[in-house]
Amino acid sequence: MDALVVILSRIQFAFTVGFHFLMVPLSIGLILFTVIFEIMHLRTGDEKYLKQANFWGNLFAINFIVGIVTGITMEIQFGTNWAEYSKFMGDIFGSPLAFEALMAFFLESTFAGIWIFYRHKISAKLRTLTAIMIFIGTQVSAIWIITANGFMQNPVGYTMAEDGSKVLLNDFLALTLNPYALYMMVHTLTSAFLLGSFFVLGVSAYHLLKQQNVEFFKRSVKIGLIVLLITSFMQPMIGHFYGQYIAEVQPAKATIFEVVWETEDTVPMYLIQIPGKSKEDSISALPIPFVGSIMYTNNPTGEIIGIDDATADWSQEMYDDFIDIIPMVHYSFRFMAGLGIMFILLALMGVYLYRKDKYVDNKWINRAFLWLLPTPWIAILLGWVVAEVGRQPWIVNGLMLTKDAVSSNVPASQVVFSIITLVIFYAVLFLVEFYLLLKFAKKGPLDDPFRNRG
Amino acid sequence: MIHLGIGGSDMHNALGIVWFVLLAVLWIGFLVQESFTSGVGMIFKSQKNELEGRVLQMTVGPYWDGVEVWFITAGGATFAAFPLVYADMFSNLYVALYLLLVMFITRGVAMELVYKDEGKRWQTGMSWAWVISSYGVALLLGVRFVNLFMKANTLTESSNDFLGLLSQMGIMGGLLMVSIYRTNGILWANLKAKAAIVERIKKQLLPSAIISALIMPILMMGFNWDTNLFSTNFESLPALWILPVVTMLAAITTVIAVLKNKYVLAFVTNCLALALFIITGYAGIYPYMAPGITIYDGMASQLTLSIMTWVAAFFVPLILGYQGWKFYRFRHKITEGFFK
Repeated sequence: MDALVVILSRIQFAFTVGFHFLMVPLSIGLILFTVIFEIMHLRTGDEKYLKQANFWGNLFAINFIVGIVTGITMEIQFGTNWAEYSKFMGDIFGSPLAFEALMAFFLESTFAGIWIFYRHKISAKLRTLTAIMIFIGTQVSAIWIITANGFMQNPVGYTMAEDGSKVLLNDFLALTLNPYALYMMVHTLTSAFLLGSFFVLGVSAYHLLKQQNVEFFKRSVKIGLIVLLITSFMQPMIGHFYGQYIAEVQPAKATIFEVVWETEDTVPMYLIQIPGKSKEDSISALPIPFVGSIMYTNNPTGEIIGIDDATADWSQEMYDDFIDIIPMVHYSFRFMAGLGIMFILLALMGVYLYRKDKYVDNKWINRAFLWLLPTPWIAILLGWVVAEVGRQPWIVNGLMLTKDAVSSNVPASQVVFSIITLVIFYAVLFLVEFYLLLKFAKKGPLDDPFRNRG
Repeated sequence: MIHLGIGGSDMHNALGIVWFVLLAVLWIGFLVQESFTSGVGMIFKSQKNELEGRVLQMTVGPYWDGVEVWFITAGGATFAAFPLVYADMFSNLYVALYLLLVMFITRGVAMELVYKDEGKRWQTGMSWAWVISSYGVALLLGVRFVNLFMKANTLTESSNDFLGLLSQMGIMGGLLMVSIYRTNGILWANLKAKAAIVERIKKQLLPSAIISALIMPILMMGFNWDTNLFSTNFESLPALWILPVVTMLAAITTVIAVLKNKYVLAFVTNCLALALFIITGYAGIYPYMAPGITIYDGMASQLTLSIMTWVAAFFVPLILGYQGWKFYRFRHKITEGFFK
């Protein structure tokens, strides 16, 4: 394979999926809030909850549009740029994508159309049903795409074709109940809800700092804090067990979390780690005894597989590729974990202030939520780097190398063409979305449904 | 591509054929419904003010996304049921697919967001983006399908050559799609809305209906003289000739119906012309799915195909059910009063 095509295709995939994933968690998060307020409105008949649903639902709608259209890129890209991968994996990987369309995309698109264009014309019952259907659609969509990704991380339920040219489905139940996918799904969905709550708190903070629409945004803050508190506490717990499972099935990736060069027991956690090309080349300082082993094994003296054993039967080229990604994955992991701790602290402070009835007037907590608004996106993208870059040099763990997966019939010039086109085009899309979200977020609750409508 | 000429058990082959047919159905379902969205997009600049524009937007806005999912499903089902076909087809259509992608994205975003801002430049820009991308979508889809029908059963390898798609026949296919879509957009708006704008755009119906009726026989003759489309299957089963004949008749009937102001009939026959055109093509290329690749070379394992069949058997009726409910629930014609 042409090395240039490989690297260009990787850059393009990372760019397009990263861009798409700016919208996805916000859609998942905001539709949760919309559903909550729709249900509250349905149960109480109180207009103030309807206003909440309209405000957050309008922001959802704008973001949802950009999310779905950039999702199309992902589907065609497997065929256009990763044709060899598609041939090798099609029997396993294609059906989750088809099921995602059949079970999720149809549901969310059909009901999103109603939500966006008819929500001011239908009954509270139908509005609530519509929002719930969209919510279900986003959840089912996440389940299938993560099932597909789960196989790339931890292949299960397959047999190899006799000529070794492709994998064949062997056990559909095993494919759908892949433990890796289950961990990843809970981790990803929780992060999306966390991001949604952070978004609600950040937008509310803007208004509370200006002391406008205070009553309205106080109600948003209450639900936002509840969601943030639950999700921020869940995340490290899920992450802990998820990480231990990764150590079982992807030992190489797991070595990067604490950069363990050689298999050993009673490993400390170093507060400062600067990984290099080898153990001698790396810097580790400020050890906290036992914590490393506890992280990996729940046992203070537990043994951790090191890079030496995890990569024992790899070729030199694969080993070199792996060593190259260690710093990027390691820093991403640490930064993500650090942000996770910050989310917990912010949630605790926010809840404390709210309970003392001091939240609305507290400048610092509102400034924090406003200025730190990008951080959940950063955390999510970093987590995604850990999951996908950490899998290298494999595209399908243990079965196919990334460099063997690109299309053999596509010249580099065409990939350059598509990258340039997409970068320019996505930049415009980003500006459009950013402008509209900012405009409607700053405007606050709208009295005029005509302007608020599609 | 080496022609392996293999297949599986009878059951496996039968499932392969089932999915060939289902894919044809998915593509036809997509192409026909897409004509509403893109068609209305093409005539969107006929509106004279925001209220008229909103009427047009409302005729397709609630539905376009559901239509695009037909495209995504067709792509995903090709990937799942015929991985080899998906990989070969998509990588060889590289440039065309990225252009189509840009058009799809532009179209969806422009249509949804055109009235999210009051600025005149915003609305003008979004309107033109919707118009241009609608023409682009139709043109590319037409070029793509005519090329598929020209080349699939030629036993040559496919090649990654974008300009090669733009042969006389290819461009003719693009123009056919544009004229059919334009006609259907106006007819769809007429079904979904009752407003002055709809009465005005109806006057644009006749030219595009006539163009479709003229291009259709030219393309059919082109297929007959320059390609193998009508050689194998049409020779062994001459009854198939009824397909191209009825297709051309449907296109002509659309012109007559428009002349007689029978717009619902025109809508039905225009949709039929499009659907039958695609059916004719698939009947001709069967069992080929891409140049040199048959159903049996390209299909997934029997297990995958049977699971997909069960899932489709359950979910497709469900989807048709709730999409049908939506059309019924919101069947009332949009008027300008809707926005007051």
